[in-house]
Amino acid sequence: MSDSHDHHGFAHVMSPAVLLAVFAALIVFTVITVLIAGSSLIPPGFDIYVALTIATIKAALVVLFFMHMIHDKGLNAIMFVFSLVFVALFLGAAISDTEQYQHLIKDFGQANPDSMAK
Amino acid sequence: MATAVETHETDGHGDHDDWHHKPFSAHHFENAEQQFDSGKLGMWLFLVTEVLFFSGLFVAYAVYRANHPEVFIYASQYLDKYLGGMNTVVLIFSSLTMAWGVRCAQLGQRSGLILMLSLTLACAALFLGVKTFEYTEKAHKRLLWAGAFVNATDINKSLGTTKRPGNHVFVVEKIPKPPETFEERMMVSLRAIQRFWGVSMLIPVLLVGLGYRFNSRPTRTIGYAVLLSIGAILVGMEASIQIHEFQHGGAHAATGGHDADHHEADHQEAGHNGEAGLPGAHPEHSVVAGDIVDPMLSELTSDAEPKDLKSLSDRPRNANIFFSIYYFMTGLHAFHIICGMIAITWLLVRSVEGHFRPDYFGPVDFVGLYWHIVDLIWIYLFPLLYLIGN
Repeated sequence: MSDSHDHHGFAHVMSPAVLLAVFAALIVFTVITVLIAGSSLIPPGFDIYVALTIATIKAALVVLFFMHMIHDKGLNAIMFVFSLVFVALFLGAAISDTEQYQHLIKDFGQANPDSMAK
Repeated sequence: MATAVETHETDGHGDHDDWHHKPFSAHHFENAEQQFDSGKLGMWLFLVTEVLFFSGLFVAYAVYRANHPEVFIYASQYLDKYLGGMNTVVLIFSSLTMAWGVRCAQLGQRSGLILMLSLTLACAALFLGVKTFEYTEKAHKRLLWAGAFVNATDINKSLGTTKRPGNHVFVVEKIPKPPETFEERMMVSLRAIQRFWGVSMLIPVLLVGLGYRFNSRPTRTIGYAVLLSIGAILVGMEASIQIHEFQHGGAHAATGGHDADHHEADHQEAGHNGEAGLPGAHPEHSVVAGDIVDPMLSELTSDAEPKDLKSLSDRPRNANIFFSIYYFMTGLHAFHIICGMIAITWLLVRSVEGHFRPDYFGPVDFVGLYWHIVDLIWIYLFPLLYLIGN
C-alpha cells in the first residue's frame, strides 16, 4: 500500500502486507516449534536451545514489526535492549551463583541420606 | 511568567495553534508529535519494568531447571502442547489485530479500529477460556503448586466418603468407587464454570439496557465489550473441551465407560494384591486405585501403579515445584491479559466515541505496545513450560 508514505503523520504506518507476512512467519515458527518438540531430529539436551532460538526469532519479529521498533526512535530501542542486557546479567549471575553450592548440597545429601530421600 | 507564555505561543508555532485547541491536546506539549513521543517513551519505560519483573520468574525457572532438569521433564508431560499451541496462535492473531488496529487509528479509520479492537478483545477472552479448561483439568488431577497437596482426607471428602484414610494409603472398606470417572468429575466442574459465566452475562446485558435507557453510548459499549468477552471465554472453554475429547475420546469409547472402569480398578487391585502387597494396607480392605491415582500423589492415594503414566518409579522429589512455577508464571501472565482486556475495552469506548484521529492515536499505540509485550512473554512461556522434551 502506498499510504505509508503519502500520509502526513509523524509515526510510521505499517502496511497490511508487512503485518500479514509477520503474522504468517509467526504461525509457521509456532507450528515448527510444536512439531519438532520431543522429536528425534534434535540430539538429546538440545531441545531447549532449539525452542529458545525459535522463540527469540518470534520475539524479534514481534518487537521489530508489531511494536514498530524498526521505525521507532533510537532512545526507545536503546532502553528496551538495555533491559534485556540486565535480564541477561540477572540470569547469568543467578545461575553461576546457584552452581557454587551444588557440591555442598551433594555432601549434605551423602551425610544425611534420610533427608534427601524421595 | 505571563510574558514567557506569550512569547512561547507567538514564537513560530502559528501553524500548530489549531492543534492546541483540539480535544485531548495537552497544552504543555509543542505539537502532536511531541505529545505522542513523550507518551511512547513512558510506555517503553513501563515495558522495561515489566520485562525486568517477569525476569525474576524466568530466573526462578532457570535456576530450578538447571539444578533439577528431571522435575521439568517429568512434570511437563501433564501439559497439553496442542492446547498451549492453540493459545499461542490465538495470542499471535490478537497481536496482528492489535497492530492492525494501530494502523487503523493512524489512518483515522474509525470502524476498522472498532473491528480490530473487538477481535483483539475476543482473542484475549478465548485465551482465558482455554486457560480455564487447563487449570480445571490440573486441579482435578491434583496437579497444584507445592504445599497445596491434598491429603487423603480431602480426597475422601471430595469423593463423598467419610472413612478415615489409612496411613498414607487410601483405604476404604468395600465402599464402591465413586460413580463418576475422572472425565465426568472434571466436566461437572467445567459445566459449573460455564453456567457461572452464562449467568453473569446478565450484567453486561443490564449495562446495555441501562445504556439505552439513559442514552449513554459509553455504557452500551462497555456492555457489548463485556458480553463479547464472556462469549469468547465460553467459546474457548467449549473448544478446549472438544479438543480434549477428541484426544482422549477414542480410548474412553474403547473401555466402555463405567463398567470397564470398575473392571480396570478390580484388575489393578487384583494384580496389586497378587504382587508384593501394600505396606500398611489391610488385606480385607480394598485399595481404590482407578482414576483417582495420580503419580504425583500416589503415596497419598494408593501405591498401585497407574498404567498409562510412564514414570511413577522415577517420580522426582519436589515435582510440584514445577507447578508452583507454572501457576505463578501463567497466572501472572493471565493477570496481564485481564489488565489488557480492561485497557482494550477503554480503547473501544473511546474509539466508538470517535476520540482518535491521525494526530491523536497515542493511547491505541501504547496499549498496543503493552499487548505485544504480553504476547512476547507468552512466546517464551510456551516452549519453556509446554515443550520440554527428552
